[in-house]
Amino acid sequence: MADLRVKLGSDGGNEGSGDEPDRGQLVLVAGFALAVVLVALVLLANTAIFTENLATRDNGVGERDVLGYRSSVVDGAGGIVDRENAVEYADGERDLLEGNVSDGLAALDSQLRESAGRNAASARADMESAAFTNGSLVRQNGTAADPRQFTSTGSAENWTVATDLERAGDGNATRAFVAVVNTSSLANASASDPTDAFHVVVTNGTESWHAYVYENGSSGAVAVAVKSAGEPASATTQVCSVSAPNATVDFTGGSLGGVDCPGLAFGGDVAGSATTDGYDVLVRNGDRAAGGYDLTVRTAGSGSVSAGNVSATPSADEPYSVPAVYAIEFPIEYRTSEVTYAETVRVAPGERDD
Amino acid sequence: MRAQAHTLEGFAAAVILLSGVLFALQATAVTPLTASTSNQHIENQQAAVAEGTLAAAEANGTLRPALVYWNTSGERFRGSGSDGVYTAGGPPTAFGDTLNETFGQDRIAFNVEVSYRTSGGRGRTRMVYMGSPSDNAVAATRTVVLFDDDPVGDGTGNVSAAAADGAFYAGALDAEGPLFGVMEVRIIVWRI
Repeated sequence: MADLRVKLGSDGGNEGSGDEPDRGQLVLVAGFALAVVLVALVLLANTAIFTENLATRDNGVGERDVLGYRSSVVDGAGGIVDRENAVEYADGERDLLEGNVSDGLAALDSQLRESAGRNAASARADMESAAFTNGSLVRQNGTAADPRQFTSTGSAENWTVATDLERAGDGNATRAFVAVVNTSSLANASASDPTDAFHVVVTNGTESWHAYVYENGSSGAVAVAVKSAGEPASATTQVCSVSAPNATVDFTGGSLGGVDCPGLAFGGDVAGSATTDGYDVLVRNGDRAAGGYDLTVRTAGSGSVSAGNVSATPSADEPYSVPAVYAIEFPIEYRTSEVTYAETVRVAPGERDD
Repeated sequence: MRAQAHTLEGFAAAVILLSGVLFALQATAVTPLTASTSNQHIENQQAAVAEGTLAAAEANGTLRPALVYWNTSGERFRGSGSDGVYTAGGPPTAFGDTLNETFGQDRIAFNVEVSYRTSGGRGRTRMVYMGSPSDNAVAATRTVVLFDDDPVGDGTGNVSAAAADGAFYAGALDAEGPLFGVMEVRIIVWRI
């Protein structure tokens, strides 16, 4: 700053000489130096941020791939089991049925393994150690357009479908119970007076759970009402309804007309996870509903389909049962360099969610 | 004269200094945390969203109908353009609506392709093509199992019948069982 002062020894006419350009250079150099220092600081900060970013870059260990594989296996195996069951093997052909399910699962495993392989993972579903749970597929071949009444082979409207169905482990004993009903066939009723309506009863001898399907007297919609186990008939409440000429009631999946119906949980406490007793499935007022239905019951243990009420051979007009795979369990394993996942999966599509 | 020179000098120095600061600020603008099409956080986020969209579609059961939304006579996805792919957005199915809602409104482009095993190797069919992905694109994959009796979207029958006529994009491999094939759905997502 000394240069800014007028030099005592110099005379006034000396401006513009010698020192002026020097000072300009100094300012210029200082400006550049500052700019360089700032840029250097910026680069340092940038490197630090980038290093931190690289160090903390984490996309998980690939658990999404594992879950994707698992859901594909369960979904695919469930589809194969249901489709092989629907082929309707004859009574003595359970070995053939299980063999064909195994073949289907092996084909599925082969394709999923290849798919995982291309993602640098080793996936394996061990079909050799698959454990089958015996069941029976009970069905009535009606449709909404060509409905059949939900009566037994002997045309009884109150009848027993299956008895002593036993749960095992965390699995249930009834799955994929889906009925298509024609609205015009249903009884006109309400939740306060449902006794005339078609209903499905699940009972263990002391308590019973009822699901009524009827045409709501005031709105004309297909409605489902539920009476919980251990409650009096007056505790029946309507849980959902849908206005349509026909509707699909999924008793085990808990939906009506394709829409979730949270109050509809097949069997309530009678078939809930807290119970180990066997239960019976009964139909009441089967003449007050028409359409078609399918259900798969677990016949392992003491469970059985009621022989007198359900035909043992496929029939066009009557309910019948064919051997089926109720559930299948097999170990799966998924390995990458970062994660190893092994589990025994249980496949029983259409079971009630607990 | 001297005062003027000092003023000019001052301005010149200020300009140089400010240029330095400006240059420095411009340089700071490109950090990995800066909002841009190549931001790492955006990539992570997009990867998670893509993964979640596929997982949700599979869980809701909307992924499979989108795969068989096929026109057997035109041999292309139903309602797609002349080259057989959707270019303006997702397919006109529930899965397509989800894609459009998730990505379309945020100016994120996506491609969807399906790959499957063929007798000689692997085939790949484009479902949605919005262009060539940028360097910062991320991908998510999900496998879907198709069965022989899955109905084709145009109501003409099921996939195995369509494949037997050569009118479906994938061919049936497992002639015996109910399994049609395992389709790998891949969505590629990037910011435009």
